Amino acid sequence: MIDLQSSISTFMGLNSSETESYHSWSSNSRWLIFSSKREDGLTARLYIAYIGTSAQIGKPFLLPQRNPVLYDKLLTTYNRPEFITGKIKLGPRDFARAAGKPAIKAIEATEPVDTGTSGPHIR
Amino acid sequence: MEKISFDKIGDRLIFYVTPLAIFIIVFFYFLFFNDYLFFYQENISLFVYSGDYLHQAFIRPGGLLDYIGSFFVQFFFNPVYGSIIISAILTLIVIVGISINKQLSPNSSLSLFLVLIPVCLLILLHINFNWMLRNNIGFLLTMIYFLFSIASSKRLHFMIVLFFFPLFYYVAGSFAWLFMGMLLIYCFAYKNGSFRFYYPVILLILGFVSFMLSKELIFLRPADELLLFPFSLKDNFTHPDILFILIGYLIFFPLLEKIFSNLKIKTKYSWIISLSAVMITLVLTIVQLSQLYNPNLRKLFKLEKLVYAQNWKEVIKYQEHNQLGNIVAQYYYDLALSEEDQLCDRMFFGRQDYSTKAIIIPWDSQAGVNNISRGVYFFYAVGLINEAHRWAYESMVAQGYRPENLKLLIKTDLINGHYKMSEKYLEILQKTLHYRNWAKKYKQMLNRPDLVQTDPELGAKMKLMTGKDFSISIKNPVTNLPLLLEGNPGNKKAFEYLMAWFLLEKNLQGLVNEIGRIKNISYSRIPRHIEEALLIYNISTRRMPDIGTLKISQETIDRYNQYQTLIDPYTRTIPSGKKELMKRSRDTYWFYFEFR
Repeated sequence: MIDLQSSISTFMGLNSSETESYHSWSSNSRWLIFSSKREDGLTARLYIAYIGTSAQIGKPFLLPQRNPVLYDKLLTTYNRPEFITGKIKLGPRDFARAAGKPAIKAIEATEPVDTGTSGPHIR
Repeated sequence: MEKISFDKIGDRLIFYVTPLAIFIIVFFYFLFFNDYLFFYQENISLFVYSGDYLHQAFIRPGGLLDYIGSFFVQFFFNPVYGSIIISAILTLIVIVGISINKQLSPNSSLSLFLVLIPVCLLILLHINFNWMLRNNIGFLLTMIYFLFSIASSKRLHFMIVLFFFPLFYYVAGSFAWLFMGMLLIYCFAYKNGSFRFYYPVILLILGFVSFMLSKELIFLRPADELLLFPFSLKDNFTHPDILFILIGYLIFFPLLEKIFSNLKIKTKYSWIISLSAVMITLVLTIVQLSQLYNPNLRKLFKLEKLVYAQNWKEVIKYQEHNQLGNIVAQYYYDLALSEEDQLCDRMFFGRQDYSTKAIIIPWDSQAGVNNISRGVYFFYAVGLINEAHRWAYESMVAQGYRPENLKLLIKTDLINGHYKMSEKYLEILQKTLHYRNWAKKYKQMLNRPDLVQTDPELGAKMKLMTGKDFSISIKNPVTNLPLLLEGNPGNKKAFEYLMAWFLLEKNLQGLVNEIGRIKNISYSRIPRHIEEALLIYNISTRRMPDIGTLKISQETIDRYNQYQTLIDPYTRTIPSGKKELMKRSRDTYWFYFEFR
């Protein structure tokens, strides 16, 4: 985390040794949500942390689920979390329609597309 | 409807004996000739006894049919069970067909012949190992529902049939459209008055509404999937014409029954005609089967079965005996040699027709999806465990749960100490009928690195792993091997794969450039084929690379001299009189180098 006045960066205690990315701030800048593979090293889960000051960082907690053991068997992964302040107006049909629209052309990959869970290909 | 009454013993015999005969014929055919399909289909699906797996069956039309099919396929691990299941389903189709005949044309002499045709076509479709069991069950369900539809001529009964059509679509997917076609033809051919048109119109409306509700409201799935599942546009049927004939035949089946029932055949000849028609159909089917049957395919799957069982010695023996020309067979042969530390000693004892492509299956957009699940073994063999994990994971994502991809994910995660991930995969295998004991064994290794290290297979793979990180190259996979050896100079399997690559490329300079690594590995002698290559290099350049204390053996020099006597020194060809003798030299690198 960088203090914008002093430009001094400090290590955030909420990080782990596993891959963590795509953090997103709440509108009041007090909450941080980010993805982390700290649980099993492969599947990204969403963690939420309270940020008081740079010295007051709350312990990140896993996004709660109705089924408390869901994460123990879930093989799919979370990516790109965002905080929202209102109701989600989109429904499953909107997603289905969007999925049915012509694909936006991406740059042709020269190597196989990663499924997003295996991390950088460092052996 | 008029109830059937058999006047002749011959008729009774045919109608009661035929299902039994079909069962026996189909049973023995699948058990002795087409048994590879059981191994293949059992290994591309995995029936899991869990709520999540069942839930997947409910979320699309045809999902339940797929679920039922997978349930039966889990018993395919034993070809006897598999043969019984397929024979029983095909026999049930015959019995249901006979029952439909009784309703539509009770006195037709050729009705048995008409019933036999779809069964014969289904047997022919099984020549394609991708023809899944669920398709047979789909045809059976369609015929049962059709039989139920015509069982009574009461208006209420028919309305019930129409009422349940959306449910049938939900259970059987695209087979509902086949049923619709059969019922439309039936209505036109057998119904009288206005109902001849009302029923088809109602059925068509129901079909359209079922499809639209599924697409827009309930399942939100693509139109082609809702129309075709459990088939798909990506299905690669080797004989789609047979499938189209079968579908067309069944749709017009009620009409054919009507046409044949109107044929007047003298009673005393009827059973002879019926028997003759049945015999001709069976003979034609057998002739077709013999023409379409590919024995090499059976051999390939037998080889793959040995690979899955990690019976490496048998893989080597089998391929050297059969010399299969298939790239996958040659890849498995090289893999088995590597696992037995014999790659550079024996690789030319088997066919090597594809140069380096049989060493490492390339991963590119042209590669078939099956290559992902097969290509993984090379990386696992040489100790590139993370890459093996990646290929196994990609296989799981692209192809779904398969016993092999889950096993590899479990093993690679255990090796890497990713116990939580390994546990997730183990939980899946533990909920299967056939792999639960396998899972139990590996579950004991969770959080027990000491057990992983002492396991003969996993411990050996751990010793092959590199101590240095590097970026994997997919485009040029052989470049990973020197990097792997940099991090673990004692990795014999990586070294021999690297040497094998140069041997197959006929790149002697490349081999010589890397041969120095042999000093880091505890060899008491130079592997046979490397020795043969070094001898060529030595004779042609008068130089010898530094290989420490190792030397080319006198036995190899003697063999080379003998080999040279078989070849014309001026044209470098084999004189016709010495071709028989030359066969003895086909297992040498020299023969590959000059003549392949």
